[in-house]
Amino acid sequence: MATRKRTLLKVIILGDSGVGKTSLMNQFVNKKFSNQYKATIGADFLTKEVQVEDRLVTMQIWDTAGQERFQSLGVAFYRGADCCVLVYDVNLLKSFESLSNWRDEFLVQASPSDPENFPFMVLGNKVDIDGGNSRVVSEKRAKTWCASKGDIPYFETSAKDDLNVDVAFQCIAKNALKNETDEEIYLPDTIDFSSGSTHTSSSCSC
Amino acid sequence: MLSVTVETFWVEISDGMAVGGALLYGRRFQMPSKRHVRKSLPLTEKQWRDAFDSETGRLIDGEKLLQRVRRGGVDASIRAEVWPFLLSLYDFESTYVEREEEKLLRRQEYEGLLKCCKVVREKVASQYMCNTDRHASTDMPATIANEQVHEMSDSGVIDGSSTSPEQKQLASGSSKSPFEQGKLARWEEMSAHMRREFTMWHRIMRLDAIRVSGEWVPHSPSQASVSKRAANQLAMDVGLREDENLEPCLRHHAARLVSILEVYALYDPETGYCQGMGELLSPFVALLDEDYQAFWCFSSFMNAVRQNFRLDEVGIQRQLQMVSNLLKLSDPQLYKHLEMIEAVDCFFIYRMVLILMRRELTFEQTISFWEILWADKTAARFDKVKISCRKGKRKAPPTDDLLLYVIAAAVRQRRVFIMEKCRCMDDVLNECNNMSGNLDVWSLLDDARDLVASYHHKLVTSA
Repeated sequence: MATRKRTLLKVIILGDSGVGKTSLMNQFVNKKFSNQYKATIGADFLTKEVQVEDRLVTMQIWDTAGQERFQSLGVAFYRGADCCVLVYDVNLLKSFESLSNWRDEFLVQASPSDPENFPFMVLGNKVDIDGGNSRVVSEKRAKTWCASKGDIPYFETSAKDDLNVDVAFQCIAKNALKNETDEEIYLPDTIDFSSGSTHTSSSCSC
Repeated sequence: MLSVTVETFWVEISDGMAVGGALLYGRRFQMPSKRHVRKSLPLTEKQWRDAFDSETGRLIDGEKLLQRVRRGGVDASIRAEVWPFLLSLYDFESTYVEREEEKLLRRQEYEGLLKCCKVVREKVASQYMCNTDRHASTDMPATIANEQVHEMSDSGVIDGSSTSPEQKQLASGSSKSPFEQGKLARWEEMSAHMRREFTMWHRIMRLDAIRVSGEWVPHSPSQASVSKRAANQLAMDVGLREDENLEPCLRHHAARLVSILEVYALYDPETGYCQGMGELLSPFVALLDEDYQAFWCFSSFMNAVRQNFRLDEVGIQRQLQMVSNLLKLSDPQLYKHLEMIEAVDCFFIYRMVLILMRRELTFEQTISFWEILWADKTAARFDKVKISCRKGKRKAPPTDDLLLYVIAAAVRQRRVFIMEKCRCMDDVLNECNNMSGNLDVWSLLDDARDLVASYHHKLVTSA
């Protein structure tokens, strides 16, 4: 039976509707941008292999629905997360004000073993809009909030202009690695019929 | 421990089906991609015209008509006429005159709701302006909005007093309308919570409307050719932002979506606006030229679908559970695998249930599929016994839950892949999300009807 060890990092992207979660994920994974991504219903994910220092890791990036109403779905999708990325739109105050709620909700639903030290990341997206003239949340204000929540790393991004997207996700991978456990990825070239004999609780993070 | 190669796996699966007997229709799932079933033609314009009594305009044999729609949907040329029947806006026994009267009342009621809606829109917009530092170019000054509230209140529009009792009675579910209950008699009297909700909906529905797909365009020549001027005007009227780069027809479509979704949020504030609803409304807007028609057809459709958007998620959970039960009954081997990978809660079909396969099927497929779902529901209500129990060949009875059988069929069409490759729920979710554009709705319906024929009774009794 073919198995090999590989590191899988599960990253959850959260934030209000329309702040650019899907765009950031697609810019990072597919190097594409579109104004026309449909609203995410439920959850979806993309994977990408990244090199972090001397290790090759697979990032599994989860894109989620932004409307609060769908938050209870989180229980199903947040389990086993290694990092949580909170995104807001620098031009929309409400989306910044929601960050606390998204963070708390994540901690409740994912119930990580060490919530105090769980790696978060904050991205202030859409800095390209109107040349920055329409922004309502200053970098200073965002950084102050991040500092108050245990020094959460902060990046200002533009998924549209591919500004800081790679750098941010590299940092996400690095921080998630600090929190990861080695996942045994099962790559089957054979099929096993005996129920459960190859499936162990560590074969998948979900 | 028994390990076999992939090649052997196929043999094992088919043997398992043949021996087990539980998977009565299992063999066809082995090569779903090669099967293309188009069993019946849609209900044609001629069949439709011939179905009415020429004197009264009453349907002569509604049941026969429903059976045709259940098999093949409706021809594109008569959709606007057939949908109000399928969606129970018109009674199957109604005469031409009665339908004309009803149409008029529905138009008037929609206009009343729309007027109220404009006031709320302006209040939300002015509040938005106060709460942000954004430019106010599209926001109406608060004073003007205030004046309009008073003006409308004086004319009796805003407290619903202009709506006749007949209208109230006619509007199915209109007891929910906040204006009629006087709950939202004035913006000022709305609870702070409700104001926040409306403000949030106001933003999200615009955001979603401008990113609704343009798949409908080839199916609606009249709307595809809308002028730039008309599109601009409507977009400005509803306060669309960030849509200047859209084609006029898409911009116009987005503006109509916003206008109708706003009315719906007022009409059914318990549901309000949830992401996904824009995509559900889009086909109605694309194929029905009048907003009031699109609104009432959509509202009627939402009577059943609004359970999907409940905050407590009872509606969606019931459906996920039912698909899970159906898989357990119809495909124990697949179910066992799902159990092993902790995926029996079926979260991987969440999107399919929530927006009724809209993302998985093409526009044309979705429309035919929804028509068949509506016809099944209506037929189920009409006469369960007569249709289901025909001697000889086993027939699938009409059911309220055809959608769930179709979803189970879609999952079963991927059974080999799921059992072979999926090692956790994430993998199954990915596989399901990747079904988009790769499904044959007719083969799914065929498989689903087989499942209905075999398991409908068992599911109903076990529920």
